[in-house]
Amino acid sequence: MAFKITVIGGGSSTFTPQLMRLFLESKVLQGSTITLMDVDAHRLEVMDRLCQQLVQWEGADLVVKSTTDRRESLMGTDFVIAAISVGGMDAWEQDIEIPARYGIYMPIADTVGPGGIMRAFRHIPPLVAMCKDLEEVAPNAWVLNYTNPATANCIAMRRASAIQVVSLCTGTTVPRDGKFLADWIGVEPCLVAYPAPAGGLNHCAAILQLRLKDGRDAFPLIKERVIHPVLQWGLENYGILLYSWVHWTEFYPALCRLEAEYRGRLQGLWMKYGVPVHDMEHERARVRQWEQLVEQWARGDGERVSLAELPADESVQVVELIEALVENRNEIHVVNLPNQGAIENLPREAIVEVSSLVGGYGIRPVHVGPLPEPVAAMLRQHITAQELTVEAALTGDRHVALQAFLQDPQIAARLTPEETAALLDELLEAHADYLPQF
Amino acid sequence: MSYKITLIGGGSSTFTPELLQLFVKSEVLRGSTITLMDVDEHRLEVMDTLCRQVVQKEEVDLTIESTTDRRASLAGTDFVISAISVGGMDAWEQDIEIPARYGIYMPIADSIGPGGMMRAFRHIPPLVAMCQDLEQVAPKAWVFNYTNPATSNCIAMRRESTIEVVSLCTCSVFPRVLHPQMAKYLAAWTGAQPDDLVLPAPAGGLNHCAAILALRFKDGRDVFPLLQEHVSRPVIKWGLENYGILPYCDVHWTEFYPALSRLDEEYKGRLQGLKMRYDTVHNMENERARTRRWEQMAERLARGEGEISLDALPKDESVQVVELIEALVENRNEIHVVNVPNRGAIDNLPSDAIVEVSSLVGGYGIQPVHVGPLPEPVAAVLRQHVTVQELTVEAALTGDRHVALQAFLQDPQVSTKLTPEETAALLDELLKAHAAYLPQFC
Repeated sequence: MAFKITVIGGGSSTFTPQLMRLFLESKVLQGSTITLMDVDAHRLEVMDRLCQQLVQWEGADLVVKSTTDRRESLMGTDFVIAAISVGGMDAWEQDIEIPARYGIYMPIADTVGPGGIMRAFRHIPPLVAMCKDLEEVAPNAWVLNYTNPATANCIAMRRASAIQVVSLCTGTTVPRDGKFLADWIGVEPCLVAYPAPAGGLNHCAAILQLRLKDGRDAFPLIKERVIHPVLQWGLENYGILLYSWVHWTEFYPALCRLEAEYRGRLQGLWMKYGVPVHDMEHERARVRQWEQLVEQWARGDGERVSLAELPADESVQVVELIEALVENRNEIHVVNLPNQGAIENLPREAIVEVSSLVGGYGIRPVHVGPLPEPVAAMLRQHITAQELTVEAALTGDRHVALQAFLQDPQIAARLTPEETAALLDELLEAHADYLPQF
Repeated sequence: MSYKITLIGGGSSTFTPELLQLFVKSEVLRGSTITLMDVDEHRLEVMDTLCRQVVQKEEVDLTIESTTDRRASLAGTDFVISAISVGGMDAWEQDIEIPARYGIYMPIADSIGPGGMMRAFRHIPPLVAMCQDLEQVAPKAWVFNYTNPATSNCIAMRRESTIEVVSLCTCSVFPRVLHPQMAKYLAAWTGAQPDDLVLPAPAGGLNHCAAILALRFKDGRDVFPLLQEHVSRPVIKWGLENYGILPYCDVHWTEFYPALSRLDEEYKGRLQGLKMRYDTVHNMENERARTRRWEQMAERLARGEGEISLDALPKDESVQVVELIEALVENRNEIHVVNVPNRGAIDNLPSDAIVEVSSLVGGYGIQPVHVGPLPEPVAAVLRQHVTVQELTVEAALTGDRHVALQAFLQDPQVSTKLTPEETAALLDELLKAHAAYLPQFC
């Protein structure tokens, strides 16, 4: 079938090759057009050449186009995959290091907390603008958003436009990954009943039940084998099986503790539970390596590249999702979308991460029951912070931004109101170039 | 795999053979035990003999048991299929004819209205007692209830026990497998085959008053405008034109809407068989004749006269219970339309109402899928019925005539036709007519 798929942020030298591999391998998408869009003309050109080269090598029936004009890239599109990074790694570094100077130590800082909130402030305006473009040039398109923070970005795009937006995350394939689950349980994959029902907020979600096909509860088996302390914490206290546990520590101040001594640079230090803080030096080196390799391939130097050499991540589910939609497969995937009652003790209009039916009638959440009430109470706190974050991002109102900061559990646990205001102001100033709305 | 499946009301000479065919054809149920339970010893014996002969003839690995002891039939069971009829056709006839004398004309009278409420009063006590037995002898069993009224019975069983109960209905396969007649029409109008449709389609409502909420061709076109233009069935046209939904069970729908429920022939003291605007009133004479034919045949076959074959048995392809059991035990994650607590799946019906809705059936049980809101005018009518059903269940459980009267006064059919005084007289006449089956009201 012939679809138009637009990749916003298509100049990425890691994500675009991963996607390209999935497009090339998809029988359903043969005949489709892949349009790469990026604001960085150089990176875009490199990716364009690589993708053209791959299509030719593989003899695939795909057309690759590229443009720096967002509106043009969206014209008549069927699916938009959005993975952008405003300010890149330099901005991310600030999101980690500035709060650290105030005593807020977070290992990733892209979801909640001061870093996550600033990331939302930077990304919501361009994502919303993209959706407004879509309303005019492709109102029936699906937006499949990979840009963090997945939740706040999804709230904003849905609130400010009529476009169908869901947020995806590479963490969410665990509940439908029979092999992964079987390894945890210690049985053969064919014995596990999967997909398992899952729910929560993005980066703070859990498998709510896990059974073997003969009906046995798999949680006690996992409890014996999985010794990771954060997983044990979830199973023992709440009877749920967390995935993305590094991200979970960011939602719970009690789980988020620096073990090394802070001496003016947080990146690379160890936190409790064996969690290292993301280090942009490593990230930059990794990306540089890929960029060089990809540039070399794109120039056509050396040997033909096989798909197996491309960066692979089996947890990128977006192509499976598109296939399930267009082929009415009625598969269960875990995605981020409006709750609408699927998780009883989270607000109906909240954007939740939940098991959903994907088929010819779109993406519909499945009722997975309540979360353990203490977990739901914590998530409701975060939902309020996310709502305030979105309002501040859309309006540029510093007062609402301060309310969001004051409400955030990480900040509330560590800073006085005066320190909170100082932190906000320092972050707004550091990111001022990317925050015209403020 | 080997399961125990209990049929409550297993003496039925139509439903039991229909189920038996499905059990015999199911690879998944090989090795299972089918336990028939009925209060009528003679009918039970006939069905027991017939089932054993079929199993033997077909050489399938199924064990047939039967008993009149309900508790024994439930001990250690995995699945209960309940299809009972307290008072049988004589009581049903009263449910149609007594309200008719008061000017309430309903073609089926087994869901709502005075007849539907009386049916709930008769069936809720034994069904609840069954669930209380299960709590002691098979607390993890699933109950698949086919006994009408599906909604009130399901509310009562879930309220009074911790057993997993869902109500099923033969109508509710339509959103999953297109009705053959509709498939034929669609093909004639558009050249489209059932394969060209995106199925299962999302569906929601209350049992006997539910609708397909969206229907598309695989190329993305909306089926509803085509249907609206061509469909001849007036209730389906009414639903499409006014609300943009496709009612299935269109005859039952007329009972939920007094405006659709009109007698077209003159009433002369007997309602059964008369023509209504969109249907003919059920006639127990025909029902009795049909059942008698089946009973005679079943008795003959059970005596060993005539050739037993699956083809000779009554068939109904809309009985989905075996598919449902297979989807549960094999983690198939299929979408079926069943009656379960709403829990937000239909935005504008109460979260704790028992609704008929598309649900995911697999290794983690039966979970409703969010299908969106109903058109608000339809939801408003259904919310009225939900209130009536709640009152009906309370009256059935307590035997409180005052609450029963509140249920009658609330019912849209009764409240549009009768004064409060007439309503009370009707209730009393019905309670008296059915007194033998209503010990809770004594």
